[in-house]
Amino acid sequence: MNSANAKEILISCRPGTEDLAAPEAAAALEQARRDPDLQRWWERQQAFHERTRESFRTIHAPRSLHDQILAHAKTITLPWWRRSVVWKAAAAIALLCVVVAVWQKAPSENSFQTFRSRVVRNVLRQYTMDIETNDMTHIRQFLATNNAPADYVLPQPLSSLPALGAGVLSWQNRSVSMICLDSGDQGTLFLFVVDRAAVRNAPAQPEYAAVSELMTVSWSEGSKTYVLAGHGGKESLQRFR
Amino acid sequence: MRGDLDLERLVDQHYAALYRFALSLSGHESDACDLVQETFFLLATKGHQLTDHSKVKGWLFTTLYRLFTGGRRRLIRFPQQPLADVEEELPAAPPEPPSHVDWDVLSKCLARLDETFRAPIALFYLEDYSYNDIAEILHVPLGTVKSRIARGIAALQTMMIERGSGTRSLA
Repeated sequence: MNSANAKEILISCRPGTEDLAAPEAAAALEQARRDPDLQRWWERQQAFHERTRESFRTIHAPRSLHDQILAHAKTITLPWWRRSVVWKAAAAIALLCVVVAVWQKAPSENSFQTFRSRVVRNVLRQYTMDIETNDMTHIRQFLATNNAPADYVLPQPLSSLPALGAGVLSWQNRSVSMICLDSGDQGTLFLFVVDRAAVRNAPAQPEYAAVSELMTVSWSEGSKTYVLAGHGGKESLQRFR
Repeated sequence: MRGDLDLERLVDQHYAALYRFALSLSGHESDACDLVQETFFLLATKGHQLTDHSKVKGWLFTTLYRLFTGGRRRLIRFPQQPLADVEEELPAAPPEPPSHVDWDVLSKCLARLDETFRAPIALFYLEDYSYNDIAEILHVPLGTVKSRIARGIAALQTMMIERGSGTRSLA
């Protein structure tokens, strides 16, 4: 490499950068160490690069440009699929659809069907009477004392059956009265009484349905909803309605 | 660019450097402002196509350069001089470097320099970009970038000395 070649290489090498790390730059610097004239030229060249770099950086961008860019950006009308508000609205609608779908599909926790299933299965699983007595007056007093429905109205056939006792259950933070009656040949009958407002879609007219191994008949009257459950078939329950 | 762009932050970070680059290319403050504004406009409207956020700065410089060259092509009615011819006219051997440099003279000399050389030189001094970065931004081969920078600096120095800005150093 001669000094002319070295100048062609070094002219585009900035001091303090990786430009000088290239092999050809190293060879050019080596030539400069051998040639004092080239060395002096290289020193002046480095000073030129420094001053030119500083000179370029004396350019001051107008602050108003910054504000104009941002102001302009606010007026940009993006295509609808790139607007965040569209995506947010779409996400909200999708979420709403999911919530509605889940709500409609899932059995409602306070539906009458759920209530009936729970109380009947509770009896089948295990039940205890909180009070054992044949005296219906005592039973009403006990239920009233425990804030459970006590002002129920028994159909005539039921009211003639002897009582066995009663208990208080809880349903959705509401008290449920359980009155146990002796049906004789069909064994124990269980009458559940709950405030009508506590369950959704409670039947007004008698509705018969088998729940597990018990037959039930349900109805509403006044402010109360009733579920009568027993081991007999539908016909046996019809006798007590 | 996937995800939302923080346009305000990007403007804060890059508008000044882009303006310096734009002014180096165009030589006119109003044109430089227009170029920077248009560049950020494109970022706001098309920047979502970028997948790598770390390349936003390079994308901005490339876009501004393309806007500049695109605009120039629309303005120039006569055929451009082929690059090979331009390069032939430049001094092959570098002159003595000027000892004094100020932006006033430098900008006038830059404006006289063919725009093929203006962009790599501006990036070379403004941002300390490596040759590879400059090649990527301008979409030209690495060897071409090195050649344009070397010849551009030589031409720039010659013009500055002719204008009397730089006192030729006595060897």
